[in-house]
Amino acid sequence: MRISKIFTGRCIFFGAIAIIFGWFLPSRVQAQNAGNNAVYSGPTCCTPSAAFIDASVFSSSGDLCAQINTALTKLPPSGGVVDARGISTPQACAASPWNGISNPPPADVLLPAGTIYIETTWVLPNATRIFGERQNTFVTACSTSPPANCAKDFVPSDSNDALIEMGSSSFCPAGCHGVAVQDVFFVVPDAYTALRLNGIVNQYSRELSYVDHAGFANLNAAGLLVGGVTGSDGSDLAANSGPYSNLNYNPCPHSGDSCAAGTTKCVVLNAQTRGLHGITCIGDATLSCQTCAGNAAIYVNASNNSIEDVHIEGYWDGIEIGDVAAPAVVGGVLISNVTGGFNGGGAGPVTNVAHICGPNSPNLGFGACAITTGTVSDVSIFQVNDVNNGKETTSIQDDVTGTSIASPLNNDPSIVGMYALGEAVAGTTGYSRFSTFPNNAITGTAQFDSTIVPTWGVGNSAPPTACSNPGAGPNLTGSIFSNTTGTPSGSKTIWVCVAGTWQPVI
Amino acid sequence: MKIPTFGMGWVVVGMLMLLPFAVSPTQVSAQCTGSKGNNAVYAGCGLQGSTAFIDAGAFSSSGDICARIHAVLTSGYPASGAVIDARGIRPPGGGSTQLCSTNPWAGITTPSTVLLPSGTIQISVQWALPSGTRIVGEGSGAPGAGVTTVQAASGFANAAAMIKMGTATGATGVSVEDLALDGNGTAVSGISNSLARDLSYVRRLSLSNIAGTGLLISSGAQNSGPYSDINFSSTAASAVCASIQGASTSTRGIHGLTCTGNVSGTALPVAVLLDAPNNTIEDVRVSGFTDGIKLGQNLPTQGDVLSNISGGPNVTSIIHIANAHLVSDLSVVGVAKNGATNAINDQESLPSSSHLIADSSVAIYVLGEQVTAQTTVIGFSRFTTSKSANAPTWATGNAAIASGTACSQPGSLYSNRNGSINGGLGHGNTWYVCQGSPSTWNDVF
Amino acid sequence: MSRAKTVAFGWIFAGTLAGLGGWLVVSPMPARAQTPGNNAVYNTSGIVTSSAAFIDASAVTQGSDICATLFSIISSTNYPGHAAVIDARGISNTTGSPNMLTCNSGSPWTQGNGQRTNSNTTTNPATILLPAGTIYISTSWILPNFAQVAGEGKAATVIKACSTGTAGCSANFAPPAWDNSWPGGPANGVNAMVELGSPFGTTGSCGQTCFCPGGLGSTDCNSVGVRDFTLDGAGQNINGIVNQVSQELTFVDDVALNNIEGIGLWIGNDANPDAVTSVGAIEAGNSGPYSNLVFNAGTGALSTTECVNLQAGTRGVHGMSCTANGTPAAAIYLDGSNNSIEDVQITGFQDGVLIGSQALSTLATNFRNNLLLNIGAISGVTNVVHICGPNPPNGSAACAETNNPAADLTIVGASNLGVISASITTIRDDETETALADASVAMYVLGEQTPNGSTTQYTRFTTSPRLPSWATGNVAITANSACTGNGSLYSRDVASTGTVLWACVNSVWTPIR
Repeated sequence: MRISKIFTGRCIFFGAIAIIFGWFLPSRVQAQNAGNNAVYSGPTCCTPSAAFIDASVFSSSGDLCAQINTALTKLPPSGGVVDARGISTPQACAASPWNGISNPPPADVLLPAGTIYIETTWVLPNATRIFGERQNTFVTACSTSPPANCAKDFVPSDSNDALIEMGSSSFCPAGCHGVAVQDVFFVVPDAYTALRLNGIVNQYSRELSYVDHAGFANLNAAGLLVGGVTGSDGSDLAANSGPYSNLNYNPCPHSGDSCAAGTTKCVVLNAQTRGLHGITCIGDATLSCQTCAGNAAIYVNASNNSIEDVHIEGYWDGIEIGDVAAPAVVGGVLISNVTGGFNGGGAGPVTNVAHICGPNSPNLGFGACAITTGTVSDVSIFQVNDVNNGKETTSIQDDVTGTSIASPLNNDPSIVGMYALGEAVAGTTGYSRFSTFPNNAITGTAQFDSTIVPTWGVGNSAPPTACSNPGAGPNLTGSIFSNTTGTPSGSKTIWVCVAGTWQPVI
Repeated sequence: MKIPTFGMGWVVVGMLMLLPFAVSPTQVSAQCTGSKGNNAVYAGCGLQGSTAFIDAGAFSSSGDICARIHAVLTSGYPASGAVIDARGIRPPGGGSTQLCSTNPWAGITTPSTVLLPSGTIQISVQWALPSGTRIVGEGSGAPGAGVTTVQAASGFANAAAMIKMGTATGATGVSVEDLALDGNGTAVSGISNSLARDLSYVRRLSLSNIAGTGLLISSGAQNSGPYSDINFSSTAASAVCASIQGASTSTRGIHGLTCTGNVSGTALPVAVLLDAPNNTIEDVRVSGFTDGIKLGQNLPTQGDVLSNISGGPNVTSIIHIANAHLVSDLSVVGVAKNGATNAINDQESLPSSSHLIADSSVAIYVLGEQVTAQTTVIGFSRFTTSKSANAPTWATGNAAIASGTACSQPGSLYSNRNGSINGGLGHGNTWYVCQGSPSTWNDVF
Repeated sequence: MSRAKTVAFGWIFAGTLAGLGGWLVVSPMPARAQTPGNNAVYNTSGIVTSSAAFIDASAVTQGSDICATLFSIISSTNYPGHAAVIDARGISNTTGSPNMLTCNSGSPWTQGNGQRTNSNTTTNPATILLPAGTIYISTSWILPNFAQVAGEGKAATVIKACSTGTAGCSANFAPPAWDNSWPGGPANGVNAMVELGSPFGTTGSCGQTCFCPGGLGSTDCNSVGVRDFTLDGAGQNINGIVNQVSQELTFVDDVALNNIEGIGLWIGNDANPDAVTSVGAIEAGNSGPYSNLVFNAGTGALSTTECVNLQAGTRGVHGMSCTANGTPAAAIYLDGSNNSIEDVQITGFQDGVLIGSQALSTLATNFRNNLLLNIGAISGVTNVVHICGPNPPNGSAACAETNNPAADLTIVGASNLGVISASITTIRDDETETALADASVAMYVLGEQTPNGSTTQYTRFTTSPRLPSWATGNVAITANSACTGNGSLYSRDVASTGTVLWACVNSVWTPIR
């Protein structure tokens, strides 16, 4: 009995050792697969797959960003996919997901639906793309004011004061590639008043870097800011980035902000890009975005940009081209399909739908750009629609040539099919220019009247005597008219408008 | 008694040994099934296989990545197609490069979406993608630094394209995205498309070290595209960034393209060859090529639109309209030199002594069609805002021009919007034409 | 039993248990069942655990069909509050019943065809990944706010309308009756296979479950999108995709529309835009882009079959092929302002792009500010671009509606790539009595009526020599040379003392200066 007791005790002891050993052995074997997907390699499950790393398994790392951070460290140097969609929200992030990673691998990061509160800027490294779940993923700046959503107020990581930065001087001093933000909405809470925050700032990311299907609400600086840092080769480090497409912005300052305090904008392009394609910018008619002359929704401050499919409400200027100081030159800009203003509902009018900056602002009623000393030329504008419901506004304000294409006060929109501004022509005071707009709006207030752009009319009969709108005011002097049925002895063929009447040439 | 002692002791041991499993998260499941490659998801019975996608790494463990993808496509693969996730296939033994000695789609006609892993996949033979095939990498990165890079192995067939879109006439739904192609200095082309049409596209692609054509679109690829967000870099003397060829090769355009050749030294000849009608090419930057976009070198072409085209260093002409074949109805909107020598070289409609438009930027240069007098071609319809001496334009201003004022663009018009009736035809101050030698502004009316 | 035997048996027993225990722990055995549909991933302990990254629809209790299964997930009380990705790519006809991919039950957001209630309708947002294969639908899929549906590509995923005789389909496709009679809605109902948003929700005045926030006529949907599949109408006179109320960030991308005898893609509704309470007041403004699309009408195309009907201001239609048998009147009906239509190829429609042809309400009478860029007709097209108006050229029949004068229309790059003949026009402009049979036209910019001018007098720039245009060249014109395009100008761009400016007057080049 004594020997059996001893033996029994030993068996129990060794059995326990076996148990403990068996318990921990698989952890040592499979810990490196943490986050791997589980897949079937045969009839029974499972084997790990490195197709992506699921960040939700790293809950012990801390908040959502810490979990993503851990997952990023599990990626091979060549990169991979981090799936954070399984992490519950709302959550606050104390640091950026790339915090502390000195050589971050390329990564596609899938964010969960819900709200992610961030305490500091997310600076995206080279070849990093973040994807949300469209209008279901919100990245929001932390605020401690009620309703408090974080322990600390948002503090940007640098003077760009941005929620997101695409690249940085430390990640890619010569320029990043392939940095993207897609399907995410960014919000600044009303209660956050510490700083004026930008949404996305891209000063370091070039080709194949883009923003797509993104939205911004309540920012009080710029929604998207591109360019402004020059590389060693003399080009902007954000050149050739884009397109920036399918965007929805509602940035506007808070009530009480004065014009001097600085104004908000949707997009500022300080570099040549692959374009801004598809955007809605909504300001507010009662706040400084609309009440401060020269404040624009979109600034095009660099050559070679195409801006298309745009809708703007509640800003003084819709698109400003060339708000730059000498000796800067802005040229080769294409604007197409832009609608400014509202039609009885919405956020308010736009004073100038497209505003070309320059020294010759003819009508003080429409305001001037803040900076007018730069050189702007070769701007092609197609399809600009001023739908301002009878306000004193323009579809195009051209301060290079001193031209205002104004909206009449009878609620008719002012639309310009084509307005191509070329360059100064030697020996004249003029500029090469083609415009299809033949009308002049007489508002009764001189400072809101149109100026005329000579155009070319075509018809199958002789023109009427007057080449002006009924009533007094500017006429189409300098315009030409072609009568396709004209004859040398009958109704003439080529006419020119001179001092308000059509005169036959030949 | 010994037996009870033994029994009790060992029972205790057994209980102790089995105790962890009572609390361990691992339990044996019952009645859940799965097949190799299935994703594992939780179901009422425990873990169950899901065919939402097929994990290629788990499906097959033999051969290189291409052989494993092919194994998925040829073993019980659903006829309607599936998503094949190969992102988990890593190079054996670590590292970032793995080999691919076969075409994964050889003999395949079923649709598939294949997700490729990060790193470099070195291919020995062309990937020919059948109808309904989509390949998606993990990012194109930059030329020479892609996230997912498909690289031509040494010995890859010369002059072949690394990826061919379509394997039969009229293929549709073939796409390539988020990928880098590295020609590895061999005389290969990047992507060729002469078969795939509607809903076939390329998106977010980097091309480097390619001595052939980066993107070659030719007859049979009508209605394909768009080809968007492409970044090409090569210093090979014969390299061409993109080419669209064929009398009927109208596509959905190239949207967003950077072509970088030799930015110093001898520029490469041509970045983009456009010899096909009805194509839109927009948002382009070219540097290191003598010609940015050249039209009409190989075939007549008409109805093309070029917008927002930017030059850069070591570029002679951003747009070159050749006179080898007729080019007509070309709309150029928004060109800026940014260091190039000429914005436009129009050999089609401008005389040989003055066919260069050297403005720093041009808003509009629309070249229409030939205009005749009797049956003699006298010129082209054209609208341009260029102030170049070689192309008449129409200027408008607000002041009269003094008699004898010099002008530089014979044939140009000037309209003074403050003009008045002042003697009528030939004596007015409203409408002028630039004429004479030397040229001065002369009033018409 | 001897002590040695006791020891031996004991060790054997202990070793067996140790081995069994070790194997059970080390082997990748399935974990305890957790939330059905959750993905399985390895945690830091090397143990398989669940992840809510997406919900695999094939792993939940299957409904009668894929739509019922999806509905059960989306409407579940356990559904995440914000949204979820639902991966249905693992559902096939072998998953459950033999006709799992035939939706007789309804749609992923509605079940049954009766009145909407909170029990048969859900408007929770979801991103649904559809499987490869053909999914037969018996009624409209109406997507709520923030919802998206993605297939595996047009070749792999087909959503097809049920028709009598199709195995598994209980009846022909029929839209829900409650969705077909909006105050101010389209006269003949929406009749769509897929709707991007709806002004309706549960019974009556919308109530708790509104497809778009605020409900009827109050506000719009946003960010509703579909992509990467084929929509097959099975030759029925129904509409493909309809967007009447979804605005910003709403899109259609990489979709093929086949065998649809109604309208392939219908955007906006101007039937009654002035009424505050009508859905027409919302429209689909700023939606889009609608990109990378293919429309094949099939052999049964009707004269009323349409590729695209555009009645709102959008972010454009970019990249489209429209193909029919020559019977339909027009491919793209453009009756809205502020649109860009680019990169379009048309085959087998009488008119390619028809502007201003529809009789609409008082508000939208002028269709302005539209840009057409790179429009090509392959074959079987009479007019590549046709602008309706009161002055049809050459005695042609006018459009049914001529009171919607288009203005500020820019056409850059329009081509007839087929047979060139006088009876085929690249641009037909019934405002200015113009018919251009040029093979292609680089630019045709129709501005506005000149002040005090007749209805045919417009500002206009075109490069077509058949119209007043401006030509330049370096040769002087011989006296009395014939010309086309009366009213054209010719400038000689050579510095010389001779004539530099001619005009085409009565078909003869006449020197001016």
